[in-house]
Amino acid sequence: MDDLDIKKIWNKPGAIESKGFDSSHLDQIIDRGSISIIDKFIKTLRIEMAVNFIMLSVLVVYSAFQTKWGLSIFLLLVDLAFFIYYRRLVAQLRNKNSDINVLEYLRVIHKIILQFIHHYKVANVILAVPLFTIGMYFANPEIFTEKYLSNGWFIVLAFVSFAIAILLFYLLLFQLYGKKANKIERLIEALKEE
Amino acid sequence: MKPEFQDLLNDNNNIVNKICRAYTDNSEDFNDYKQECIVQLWKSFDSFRGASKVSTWVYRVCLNVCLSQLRIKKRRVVTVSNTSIDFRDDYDQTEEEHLQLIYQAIRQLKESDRAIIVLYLEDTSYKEMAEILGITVTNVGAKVNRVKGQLKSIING
Repeated sequence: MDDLDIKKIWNKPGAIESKGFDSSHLDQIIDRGSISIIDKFIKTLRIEMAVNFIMLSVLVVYSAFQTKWGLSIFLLLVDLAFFIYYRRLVAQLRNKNSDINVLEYLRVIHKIILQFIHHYKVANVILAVPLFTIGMYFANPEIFTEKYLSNGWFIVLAFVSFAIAILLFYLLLFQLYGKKANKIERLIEALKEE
Repeated sequence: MKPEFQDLLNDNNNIVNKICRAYTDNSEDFNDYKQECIVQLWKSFDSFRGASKVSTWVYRVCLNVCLSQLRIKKRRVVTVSNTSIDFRDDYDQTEEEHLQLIYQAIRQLKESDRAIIVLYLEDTSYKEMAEILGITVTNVGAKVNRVKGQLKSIING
């Protein structure tokens, strides 16, 4: 088959006939929304934002009831900072448009995936450990300070558990997004090379 | 839904179909990709100012969707095939087999090369291809020559 034959066949309508769309069908498709990786990130971030907001607000109220005003104000500030951070992140992602050239779009997607992975790494290490510790403390302050913090084995066990959990989380991140980032990076390289 | 968008989509439906078909090998994935293309076209419809040809815009958005898409796990309930695509009664079976052969060969190419060959087969100019892909015209020329050869050798065995 030579070039002309391929083009000739390509330009035939083939067995699939395109009848076009009616408006109700198009409305149905558009109403269901996007399932792109950006929209997936936006949905995840919105859930995270809501969970963090509720959890931190509960902690603010609880510490205020306990008349721990310093802690309460600190948590309130953290709560507000998170809220603003997530709103900004979601707004940034919502502004991404797919009407740019392919190479530029792939670079944008690659950058977003790396940012998202970075966000989770930071959230996992910086937030998970303090939040777990605060949670344990609030659950039973006396037992926590007297029993756990004075027990060297408990601290070692907690440290090892966190290290394993972080490692597993990183592996999960790689499976979910790292592979995708690598794939897009290869695509960018393939497009650039002559 | 704006009637202009519906008309535009109907006029360019073949482009969407061809690109999605080059990147998928089953009807479920085809439906998913096509619906995602429609959603993304709709989302960028208002910001499309006509700086480029409509077809250039459609190629760009659809290629962006197909190249950046994860293998979508979540199946949609709405199917494109039920209402917008049907099999023609008068189609030539041999022609369709040849077309299938071409698509199968295209799917064996690297993902970035599929974009090149689809645009080439669509008779898109090198300049327009460069605009869509964001690479230089020289690069387009080099890639077209290489990918054309690869496609022919796959098809001819």
